[in-house]
Amino acid sequence: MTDRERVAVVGGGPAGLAAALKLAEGGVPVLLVERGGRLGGRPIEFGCKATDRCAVCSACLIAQMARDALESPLVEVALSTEVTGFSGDPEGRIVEFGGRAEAVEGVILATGYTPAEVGPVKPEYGLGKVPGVTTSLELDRRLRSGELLEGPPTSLAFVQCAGSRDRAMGKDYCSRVCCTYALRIARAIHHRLPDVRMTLFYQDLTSVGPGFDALVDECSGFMRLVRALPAKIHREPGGSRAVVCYADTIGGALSEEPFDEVALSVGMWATHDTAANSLFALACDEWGFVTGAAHNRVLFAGACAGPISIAESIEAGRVAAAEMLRRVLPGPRGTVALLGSDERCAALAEKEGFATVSATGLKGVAGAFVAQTPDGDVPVVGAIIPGIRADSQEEALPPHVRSLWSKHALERARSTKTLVILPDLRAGWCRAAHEDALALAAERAGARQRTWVVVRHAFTGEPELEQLMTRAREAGTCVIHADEDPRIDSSGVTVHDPGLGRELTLKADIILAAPRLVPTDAQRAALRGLSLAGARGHTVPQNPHLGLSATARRGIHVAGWLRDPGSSHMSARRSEDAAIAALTTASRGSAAVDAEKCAICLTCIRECPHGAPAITWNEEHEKDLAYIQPEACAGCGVCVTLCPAQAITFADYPDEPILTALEGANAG
Amino acid sequence: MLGKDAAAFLCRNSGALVDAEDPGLLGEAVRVVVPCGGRVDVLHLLKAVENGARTVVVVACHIDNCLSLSGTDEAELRVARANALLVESGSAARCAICRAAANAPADLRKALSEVIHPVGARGPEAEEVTTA
Repeated sequence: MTDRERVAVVGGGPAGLAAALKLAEGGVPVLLVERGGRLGGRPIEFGCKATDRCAVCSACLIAQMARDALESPLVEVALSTEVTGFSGDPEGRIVEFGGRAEAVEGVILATGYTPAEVGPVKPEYGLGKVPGVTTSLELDRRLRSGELLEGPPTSLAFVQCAGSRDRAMGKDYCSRVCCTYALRIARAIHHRLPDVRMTLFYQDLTSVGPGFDALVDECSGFMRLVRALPAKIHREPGGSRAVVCYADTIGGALSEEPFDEVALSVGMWATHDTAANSLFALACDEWGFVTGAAHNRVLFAGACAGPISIAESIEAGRVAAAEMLRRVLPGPRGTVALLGSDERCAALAEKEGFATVSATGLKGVAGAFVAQTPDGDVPVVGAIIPGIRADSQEEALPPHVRSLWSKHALERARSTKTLVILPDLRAGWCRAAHEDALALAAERAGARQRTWVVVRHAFTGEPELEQLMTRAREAGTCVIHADEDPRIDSSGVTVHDPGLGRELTLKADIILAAPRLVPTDAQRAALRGLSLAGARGHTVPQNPHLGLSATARRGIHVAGWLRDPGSSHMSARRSEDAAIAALTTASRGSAAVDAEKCAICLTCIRECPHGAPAITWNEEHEKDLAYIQPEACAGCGVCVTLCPAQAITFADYPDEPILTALEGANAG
Repeated sequence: MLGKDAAAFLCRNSGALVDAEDPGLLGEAVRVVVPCGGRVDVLHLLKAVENGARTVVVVACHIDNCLSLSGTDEAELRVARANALLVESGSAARCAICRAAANAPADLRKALSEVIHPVGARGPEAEEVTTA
């Protein structure tokens, strides 16, 4: 423990754990106060949703983070403890907890959320009364423990929006994550129990994060997606199943359908911790989510500020910790290379205490990078490859369709009589495209102008977009939620409107769509040069350990759409934040090379995904040798086992203890 | 459940955490915690067999969930290589890989049940396997 006062982190869920570990990584001692009896928050009870591959839900990271916090010498964990007092005096901030009073540098609040209490507020759903009615959380728990595998239902229904998007109960906001959560559970169940018949009742499928479209498409192949919210769930007369009563929004028919089990997708509610709110002088929105703190050294992160996924919560915790580190340890933090120009990204980095330099290339490893600039080489601590629209190339659109981001087309579109905008025709879910489409539609309020915006994605989890849509509708725009890709010809667009149950032909002078963005040749070259290029030239984000911005190369971060083609403005901003928060990452391991054995075969260089091995001149042996750069090493030991000459040794996990332990394996 | 005549290599980010949550899954098997499934060498697998292990299991992360990115794939190659060497030497293929996340005890239970019997049933009793 250093002499420096500690930072208190209140809450041991994903955001709190991420903040605590990030602070400890930065050398700041942490006091982690958790109300419950164990670390991990609610997600520690969530099961794995993997099929043959990881589902990238990040739930498994929580156990790893809890272990790391308990093992960290810089993190003191106080379980079953609540903060009872706080003095925000700049001369001496004091946190009182568990009968103790400790001086702290600051506080990060990560107090999480409360699952919607659906039973009392939605009695018509019969939770706790009708056999077979349960919650998605309970279903997840049974999937995790294996109970579901032992006694699977024949038919299973998911009912979305239980406890959110419901004005009657004062929760007229979208909980954002429930659609993805339910679909991932359904896919995991189908993988393990392919005979279970599943149905999902929904209002709108809300997209959060990359891969949502593919998830919906995959689930559509084995389960029914019914656009309707049940009015009532009752017990089957003379039976034991739960009967779901609903009016199919698309078919229009009133239906009653029995299921063995019905899982209510419970929304996320604010914790309404009035004691904590007054203790830390927190401001909250109408639903009780934290929106601000009066003290300069009190920050908040995670689901206490609104519905948020596990991955987003982890990143929010890291970003809050980076902000706290800046406040606790002010001063210059080195230079960051930006491979590509992005003023916003540069401003964010500079706000965090980093100087920035625009670079054309990068050499070296984390902690000792050298950025190549027109003015010569510059040492940098890390690099960000920003993904911004202005830097990009657009893929070709179909005939008769113009780019939503073409200035010339936009000018014409403002004055033309009839306009159809297809923001997700090619780009998939892209917040920027929806924002620009709705803003353009809202501008067109001319008496003889007619505007249609055809979307396939709901944006109920994005309040700003909802407001824009309202403005566009008030200006006379017709927003159509289509369930199929539209057909386009020279006279207009034909779409299938599931609400009307028939096709509509929209005559248009101009058809606009958002094209899919692809990296420029320079961006491709930069990614390829760093061994980061994936399919289509974008980087590959499908690994929960990489979060929103990290890459296989430590210290190099890719932000925005360049990482994920469907990335929105909001996630671009978040990934830029995350990139900056993660720039000063400590080394995780070190391997040494035996000079006598190394044959410079380059196997380690070829195989290491982190770019840790390099060939350097060894003064002592007067020859070139492989060298494992500790700053870049991830500590996996893969190179140790791959080296044909067995020249690499790993100090933290040498062979001898492994072989000794194996001596105990015998028939006894 | 595995007996004393089994060895389990556990990735510290997946297998070791599941084992900590439910130690009964791996029974009396000798545990070796490794930083990543990719750290497991053919030598380690053969050494376990040489010492008398009838079943050798590597519990590693799912594809796309490896902290080291390629560790699980590497572990799978090592297991295949070790089995090939065992069969070549006239012994039985006794090594297997199970993929499980830190929060998936039920998945590991199922994966183990699928590999234990086939592994144990393949070929004759463990024979002497000499490793360098």
